[in-house]
Amino acid sequence: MRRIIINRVLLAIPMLWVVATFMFVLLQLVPGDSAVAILGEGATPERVAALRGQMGLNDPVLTQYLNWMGSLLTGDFGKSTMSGESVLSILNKRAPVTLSLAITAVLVSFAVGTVLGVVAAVFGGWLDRVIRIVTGVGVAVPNFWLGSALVVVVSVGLGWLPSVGYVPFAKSPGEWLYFMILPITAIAAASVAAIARQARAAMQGALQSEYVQTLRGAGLPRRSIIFKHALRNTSIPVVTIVGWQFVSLLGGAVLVERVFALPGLGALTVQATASSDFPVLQGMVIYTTAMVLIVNLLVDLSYLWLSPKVRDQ
Amino acid sequence: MSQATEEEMKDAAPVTPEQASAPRRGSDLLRRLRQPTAVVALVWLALLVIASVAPSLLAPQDPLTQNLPMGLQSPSWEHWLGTDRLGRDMLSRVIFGTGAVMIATVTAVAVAVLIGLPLGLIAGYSSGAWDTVISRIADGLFSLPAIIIVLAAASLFGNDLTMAMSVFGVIISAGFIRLVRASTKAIRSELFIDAGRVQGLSSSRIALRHILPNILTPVVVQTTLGLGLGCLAVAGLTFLGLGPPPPAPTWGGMVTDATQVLVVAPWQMVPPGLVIILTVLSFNFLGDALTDRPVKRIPRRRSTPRRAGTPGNSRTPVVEPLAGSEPGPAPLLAVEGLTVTASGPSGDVELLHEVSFAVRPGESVALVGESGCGKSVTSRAVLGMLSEGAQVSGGQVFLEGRDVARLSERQWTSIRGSQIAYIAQEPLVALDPCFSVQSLLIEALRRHNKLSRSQAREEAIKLLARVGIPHPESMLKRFPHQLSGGTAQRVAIALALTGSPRLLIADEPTTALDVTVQAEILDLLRGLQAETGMAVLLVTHDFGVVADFCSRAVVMYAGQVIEQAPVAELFAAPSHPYTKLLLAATPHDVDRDQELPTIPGVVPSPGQWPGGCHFASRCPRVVSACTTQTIELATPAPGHLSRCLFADEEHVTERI
Repeated sequence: MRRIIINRVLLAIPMLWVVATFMFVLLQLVPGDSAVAILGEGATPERVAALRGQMGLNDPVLTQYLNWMGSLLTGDFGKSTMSGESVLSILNKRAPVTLSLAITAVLVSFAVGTVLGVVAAVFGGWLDRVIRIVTGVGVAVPNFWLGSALVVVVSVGLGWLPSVGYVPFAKSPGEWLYFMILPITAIAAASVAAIARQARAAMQGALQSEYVQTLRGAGLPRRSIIFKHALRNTSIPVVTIVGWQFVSLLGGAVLVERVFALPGLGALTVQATASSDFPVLQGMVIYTTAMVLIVNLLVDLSYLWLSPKVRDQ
Repeated sequence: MSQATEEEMKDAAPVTPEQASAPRRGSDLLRRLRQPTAVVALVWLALLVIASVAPSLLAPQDPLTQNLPMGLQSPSWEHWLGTDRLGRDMLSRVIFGTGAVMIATVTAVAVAVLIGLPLGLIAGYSSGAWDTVISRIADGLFSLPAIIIVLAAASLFGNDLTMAMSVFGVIISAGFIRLVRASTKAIRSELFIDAGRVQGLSSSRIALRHILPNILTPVVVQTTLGLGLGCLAVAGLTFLGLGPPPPAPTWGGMVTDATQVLVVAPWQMVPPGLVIILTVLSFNFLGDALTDRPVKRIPRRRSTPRRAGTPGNSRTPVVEPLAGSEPGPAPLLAVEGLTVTASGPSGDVELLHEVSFAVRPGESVALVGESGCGKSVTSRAVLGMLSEGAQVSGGQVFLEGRDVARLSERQWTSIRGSQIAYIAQEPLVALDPCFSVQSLLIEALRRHNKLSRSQAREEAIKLLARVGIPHPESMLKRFPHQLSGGTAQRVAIALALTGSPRLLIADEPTTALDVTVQAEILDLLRGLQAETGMAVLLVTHDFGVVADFCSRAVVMYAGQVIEQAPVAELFAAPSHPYTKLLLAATPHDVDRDQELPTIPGVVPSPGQWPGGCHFASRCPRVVSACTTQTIELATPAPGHLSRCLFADEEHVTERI
């Protein structure tokens, strides 16, 4: 058990290394002078030269790479070219918004998606058809569009919930939720649909399996067969998908934060993209990859808990 | 963006061999594309292609012509989708915005295929180091926050949408790598590839000639999913302002514009949103149509419709259907004229036709026949566990005097386990993999007996000892995957015994086991029968098992009982040509040099049973009378039934 966890943590390290290297290579691939790319074509040669010096662009590529890696190892993600602030502290400041959004969305999609999928598989008939159609359409609706549509209907039309604003969760969970209901709905809808489809297929598979026939043959009540045995088996593929959904939801946050004017990592990404703030973007990619790896680790741990087979491997 | 479809790409990634190899040929692809949803999707996509190549052909107006007084109009005859803030025609803007979306989307997927296909082929074909490295790369790509990286790339490449989407393509190539790898592995293990290898074809030629055509369908399906995903990504990026700068129209940009006038003109949201949704749906529909997985069925709560007979009533069964069999105690199980039909796409099809037989207390009866004869359907019907779509449409099943043929699932729950129990063919998949032996047994024991948890645990240990497991206590904490086939079957038997059933239905209980283990399991069942007086209905195709274990045999063919006799009598004097041929085809006492005889032809499928004798087409002594009339059961000897016109003759000749 402990060996498996250590193993997974060790595997995450090369992953982060590859991503960091990828970002470095990407920066090298930029046509022309990246200092010019950052400052814009109109920048004075003095400013360009100064930035080149600051970024160490005059050093050999290998030196640049080693320096970059070395500072990453010490937790130094560089400084924002826009504000001069430390990238790590910017990211730490923004992360709670996005993380609270993405994590809540993951939990909501897991719960709602599983319930829908199980209901569709267990009851079948028209309920199944309705759920299949709704989830089929659900995966095709862009979250930023759904967010805007929710603003039109729920905020503007019904006046029930605000369309902009944010209160940190740590400050007041109630108010946080009040502002987050619409963003969470917008971002989670597609994940709900995706998880429901997976849960439906897995539940159908479980209900048809030989072990369910054995349990029926042994006279166990339907309630136990479905909600104890089949559900436990269904949860394994569903949890896999939930891990993947987290990656999608982080991406979705970029767009939905824009719709609801939330001050999270997504807004920061858009801002940094517009101003070519490469250190922030690089830091962002590594930072979010690390988050995904942590979530993957949690998913792996939940396998250990859910599946005796995985425990033995 | 990204969202759900991204997951679907991943969802589609782990491919079972069956899925990878089922829909193969090009003609198959074309057939699938004729489904209605696929046709609608194709028409829509064709329109998009025209809109991309020659937007002016479709667009009623110039997308950039402003007409401020006519701004923010609702749909009208003049402007089918209304006008935007600057009075520009929305329909035309949607049409002129198509090209950028399509080019960027197709670029992304092309990059994904170009990376995913070769890497997947290499990983799937050359297991070992390459496989490990490539799989790790795919795992890594799956953990990347795609949209953030794409935005970073876009900012580096000067807002170039197509470049940014190429990076997106690199990330989603992971889905293709996994899919192609899995499909290649599945196909590679198939025989014909090995044959190709023996003939000395080079690896690359094998890959190209054999594997590529076979992974065509899964790759095409994955491509459609990728296109849907890419389309959502492009919409998201253009929503953030990437791509062609204003005033050029983009789908996402139109949503951005709409959000600025949300309060006064909510309609503005509809056209771009609808176009994006329809396009993504079209790609997904296309993928679904091409996948065309068979619809799975699940057991349902409702009792089966009551078409014939008096349902659920208690009466002593007439012993008359046992006409000719030996007199004895009242049967424990009496199946009388049981007919099972399945509703299929082309109407109802009979799976069983008027099956009658009985099992007396303590008796071991075999249900014999080739696969497809209906023995498993019979056993499932007796257990009330017919799969969805199949139902009892005639006849009765009396279990200890009560007609159980049409009970609801709830009523069955109180019968199964305590009166009748079941053990399955494949012990290793017959036990819930998520629960320990202990929790399975304790749950079942407490279901049938008033026991505390610790009492149940004690009982479980005793039960495991009874089924011959050496160190029962150490077995309790084990999980099904830690058991050998023989041990798993013993545990399954223990599970079946938890409610002390009077009848055990054993569906090929030894087929999946080693020969030595087979004998042990049969010995165990025999011992348990002696101990408890339990009757066993053994479904098998193996006459060796029949001879070893059963006192009476019911031979089935194509949904009918065709012969029924005490086992000794059946072996000595089979009266149906099918039974004779089956016996001859059994590999016992056969001269090693002699070729084992087989029965030419196959069992006709349900719905294709001939009018007269079901066996006529394969029967060596068929005459014209065999095909013109319904063949009834004859009684060539006391206790012996045979559904053959020549039953008496066959019986006698064999005796001599």
